Amino acid sequence: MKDKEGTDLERRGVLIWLSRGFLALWAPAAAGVATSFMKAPSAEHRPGERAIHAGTLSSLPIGDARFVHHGNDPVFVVRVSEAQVMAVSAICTHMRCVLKWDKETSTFQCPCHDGSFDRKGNVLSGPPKKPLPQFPAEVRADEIVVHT
Amino acid sequence: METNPEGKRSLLGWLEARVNLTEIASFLSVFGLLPAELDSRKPLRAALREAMSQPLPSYARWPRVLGILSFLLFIFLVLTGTMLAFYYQPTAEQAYPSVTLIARDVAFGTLIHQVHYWSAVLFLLFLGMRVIRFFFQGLYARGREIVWMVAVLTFVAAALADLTGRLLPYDASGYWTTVRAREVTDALPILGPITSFLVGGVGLDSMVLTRYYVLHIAIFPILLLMLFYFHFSSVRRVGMSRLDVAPANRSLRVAMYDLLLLVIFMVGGLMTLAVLFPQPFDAMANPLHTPPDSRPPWYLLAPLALMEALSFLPKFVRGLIPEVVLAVVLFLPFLDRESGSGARRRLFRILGIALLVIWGALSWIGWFLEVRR
Repeated sequence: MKDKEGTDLERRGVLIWLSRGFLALWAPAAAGVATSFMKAPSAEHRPGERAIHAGTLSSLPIGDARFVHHGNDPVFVVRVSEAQVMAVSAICTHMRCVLKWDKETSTFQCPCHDGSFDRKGNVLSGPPKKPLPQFPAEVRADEIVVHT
Repeated sequence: METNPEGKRSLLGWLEARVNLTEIASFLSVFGLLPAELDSRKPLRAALREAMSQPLPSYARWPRVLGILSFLLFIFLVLTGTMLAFYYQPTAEQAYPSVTLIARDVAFGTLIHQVHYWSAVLFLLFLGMRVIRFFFQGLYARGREIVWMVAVLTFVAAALADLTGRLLPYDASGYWTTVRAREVTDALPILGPITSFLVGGVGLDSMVLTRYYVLHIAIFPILLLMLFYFHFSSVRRVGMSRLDVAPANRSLRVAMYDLLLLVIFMVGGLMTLAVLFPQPFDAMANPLHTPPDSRPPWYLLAPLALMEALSFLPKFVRGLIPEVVLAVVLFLPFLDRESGSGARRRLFRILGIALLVIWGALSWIGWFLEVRR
């Protein structure tokens, strides 16, 4: 189709829509950049917060556990033997209540719904179904460091 | 749904019956989008059609792009700055960890920060070039006094926004740049005490950092927005500057495409700068360790050099000189009144060139001040 000056109107229309379509692609691209920027990185992806300093090894008797504050995700460090420590989450896997260490029975007790875990985090009784997550722990010059 | 005059049901007509859309559009368009005025008594479509068909010889064309480019950069700064503020924590302990979190762990964090950085650099550069252009083209003559003064004040406000932004990452270079800048601002007789009052002290601890933050993200941006509004309103009253070249007869619709092209080139330019010349954060600031090459920002190098060179004068007099220069520049339209012969205009032109040369030379000296010590 041509107008009276002989311009190809169809080609012109296609070009206009092509350029508009090209520009329209900018909107989803900008929205994608903005939303992925706005998504807060999860705690595991903040390198500075991955190592928890959990006190000295010498102040923790063998077979005992220590509660360590760490934001909304506290942990227990358990001294298994002379040189070996392990760390488990202090959050009940049932309803996220904070567990208590029972020294007599060497178990973790949940004050909310009476769940209990052994010192390795396995479920002994009560409503929880999943075991407590374990974290690698090491001793650096008498200081216990937990990596979450 | 209401029916519009053509008899069709439309969302626009429904809204139009409940809110004056043209008024909203005219408020938005006062920020440079439409140089023409919108008749807020007419419905939106009719008002826009009327504005779009007006002949507009040279909008968004060189050298008239500096103003609109700086406003576009301002929008960019507001958008990227808002995004950065979602992560930033304005305390001495948390500022640096939060900016490194943005740079390392947040998706596109480095890109957003770099675009913010380069937008700020270009923003100040364009505003400065704009003042120089206004000066040499005599665009401060009778009737345009407000336009000139607003242009100078916009540059000053942008420089202050830049200055307060430098401390925020709390890295070594930003921290010591701010310390050196305070050296200059504290020597100014009246503005110095006002600055100290605003930022709440000489030390750069958490209290002061939070104040820099508020000044940077609220006070100066709002001030800039008000100045932009004032500029566009004044330009509508006194008209755009006349260009020497014979302008092509274009409609506003065509000018809008030029504006769109400007935006595209600017986004491309910013991305290129951000990727090719990234400015990463320095090490965390240590108030007990001064790095050897700390300098104030480039716009304060000349006042610093001046104050060092005139160290035999009392501090009060040394601080007065930059203030007097700023006042003369600001009130230039009232000093440079056209006389019959035009000899006065010539004198001011020579003075302006001299000022620029001296400014450049002093900045050069100020840059090497640290190396000589």
